[in-house]
Amino acid sequence: MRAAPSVLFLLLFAADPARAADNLKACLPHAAFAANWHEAGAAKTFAESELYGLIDGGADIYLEYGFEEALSARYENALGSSLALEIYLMKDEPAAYGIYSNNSGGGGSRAAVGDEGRVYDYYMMFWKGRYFVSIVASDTSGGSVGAMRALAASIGRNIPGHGGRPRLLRALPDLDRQSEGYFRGLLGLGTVYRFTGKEISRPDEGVFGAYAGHHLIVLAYSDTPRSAASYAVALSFMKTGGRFTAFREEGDGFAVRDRTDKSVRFFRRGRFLVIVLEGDAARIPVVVQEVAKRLEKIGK
Amino acid sequence: MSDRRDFLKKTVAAGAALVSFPEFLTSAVLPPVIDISVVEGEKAFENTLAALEPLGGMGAFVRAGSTVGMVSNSVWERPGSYTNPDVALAVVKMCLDAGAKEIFTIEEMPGDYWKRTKLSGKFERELACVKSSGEKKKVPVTNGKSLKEAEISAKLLDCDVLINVPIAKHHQGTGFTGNLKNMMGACSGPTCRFFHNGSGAQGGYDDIEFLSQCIADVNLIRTPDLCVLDATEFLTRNGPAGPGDLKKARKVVAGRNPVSVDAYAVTVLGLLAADVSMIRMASAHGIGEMDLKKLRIREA
Repeated sequence: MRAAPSVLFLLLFAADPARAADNLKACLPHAAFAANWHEAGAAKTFAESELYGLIDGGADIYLEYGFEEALSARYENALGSSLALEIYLMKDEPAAYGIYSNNSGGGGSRAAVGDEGRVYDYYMMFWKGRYFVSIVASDTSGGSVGAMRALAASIGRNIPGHGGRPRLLRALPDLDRQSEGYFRGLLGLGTVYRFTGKEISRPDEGVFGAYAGHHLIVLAYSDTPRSAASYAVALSFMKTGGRFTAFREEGDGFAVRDRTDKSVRFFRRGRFLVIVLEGDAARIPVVVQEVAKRLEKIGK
Repeated sequence: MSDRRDFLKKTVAAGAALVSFPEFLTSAVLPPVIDISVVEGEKAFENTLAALEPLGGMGAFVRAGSTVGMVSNSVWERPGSYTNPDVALAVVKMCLDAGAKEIFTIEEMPGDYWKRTKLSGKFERELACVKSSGEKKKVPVTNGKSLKEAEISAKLLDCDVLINVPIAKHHQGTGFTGNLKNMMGACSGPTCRFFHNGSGAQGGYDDIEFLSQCIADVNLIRTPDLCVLDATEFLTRNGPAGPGDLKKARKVVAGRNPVSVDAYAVTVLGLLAADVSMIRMASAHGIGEMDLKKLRIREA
C-alpha cells in the first residue's frame, strides 16, 4: 500500500517536463524554514539537455544513473551567509539511491531526513523516492548549519512517497560491511576502482561494498553471454599486461596486481562478474561463494 | 696591475678547480636548478611568493613590459573546487612587481572570483590591472594524435608569458585535474565537446583515453612558461564540482613544466602519475618529465 502514492505521483508527473519542473518547485519550503533566512532570486530548473549549465563537468555521473530534471535555489540571511540547494529528479528510485551513495561515500554522519541522509561539516545530502537533494552552506557557523538542516527537513517532508534500495545490494554479505554503493556505469564504478572501457565492458548496473581489508564489486549484465564477453575482455587485457602484472589463474577466476601492488581478482557467476580488491587470499573463495549464493536468490 | 694579476690568478685557480672537481660547479658556484618548488603552510598568498623564490623569482619568467596570460581554474563555486584566489592574487602581484605591462585571464573568470579572498581590498589596484580575454582562434595541433585542430584563446597564443594556475583536485572522469587539464579552460565550447565526444562516445566520459589524449595534444599548442598549482585545500571526492571530501594539504607547487608539476601533484591525492592517462600521454609527447626520481624537488 505504501507504494501506491508514489505510483500515482509517477503517472501524474514523470512524463511531462513542465509538470516535473512544477513538481520540483513543490518540494521547496512552503514557509520560512528558519528565522531570518529568505530565498535569493527565483529557483531555476534544468532539463536533461541543460544539466551541463548547472554542473558542467559534474553532469555526466547524473546522466549515467538516469536523470530527468533538476532545480537550483539559493537562500541567504542578513549576515551574508548562504545555502545552495540542488534537487535532482532521477529516472527511478535506484538512480536516486545510486547518486546518493556515489556522492555521500559513507563519510560524515547520519541525518534523519528522507530515505537516507548524511551531514558533513559544510554540506548535507539525502535521497527520497526518485529525488536526490544536496545543500551546501557557505560557512560552518551554527546558524548556517542549523538552517541547512532545517531546509533539508522541510524539503524531505514535501517530497512524496518513499524509495526502495536497489535489489542488487542484496548480493553483498552483511557481515562486517562498512559501506556500500550502487552504480550504472564505469564512472560510478570509478568511485571505488577505476577501470577503462578497454579493460571491462560497461555493466547494466553494479554494487560495491567496503569491508575491513577488502572491497567487493558485483557487476550485473543483462544475460550470461554479455557477462562472459566482459570477462573475456578483462582476462585478455589483464593477461597481456598494461597496468596490471602478476597474472595467475585462481580457482575458476584469475588474479592480477595493479601498479600500487593492489590485488584484483575476477570471477564470473552467471550474468554477474564478481571482483575482489585486496583481501586475505584464503578467505576470498568463501566470500565469492557467499556472493554466489546471494546472486542465485536475486535471479539469473 | 697587482689587482689585475691577482684576479687572473684567482680566475685560473677557479677554472682549474672546476675542471678537477666539476661537481663544485653545480654545488657551490651556481645555485642548483630546481624543477619543482613546494611550500607548505597556512598562508597561501605568502607561500605562493615563497614557492617562486627557488625558481629564480617571477623576474626569471616575466620581463618588464611583457604581457602575461594566466589560466586559473575559477569557474567553480564549492569549497576545494576552484583555485584559491590568494594563490592567483600572489601570481598577479608578482607579475606586476616584475614589470608586466598587462595581465589577461585566459578563462572566463566569474565576476565574484576575487571577492572570495579577504585580500582583494588590499590589492584592489593590482586586480584592476587584470583584464579578461574572450577572443578565440582556430589553430592546427601539430603532432596531435587525436586533436588536429583547436579553437583556443588568442591571448594564450599571443602573450609573452603564459602562467598556468590550476587547483589540484579529484575529477570523476580523468581521476585528477591539474595543469594539463586546466588548458581546457582556454578552449572554446565546441573544442571541449570534441574532447569528450570526438571519438563517437555518447557520454562525456565514455572514452577517457580519447579525452586524455586530446588533453595531452592541446598542451602541444603552447606549454606554459610557469605552473603555480594550488594544493592548499581540494576535493578528493565528487570532483570537479563537489561538494565532497576535502583534503587540506596546504601546499603550493611551482615549476616550469606542467607534466612534472602534475606528476608531483597527483601524489598529494594519493595517485600515481602512471595511472593518470593524460600525464602519461603528455609525457610521451615529450612535453615534460613525469618520473619524480629524475626531478629536482625542493620542499619547504
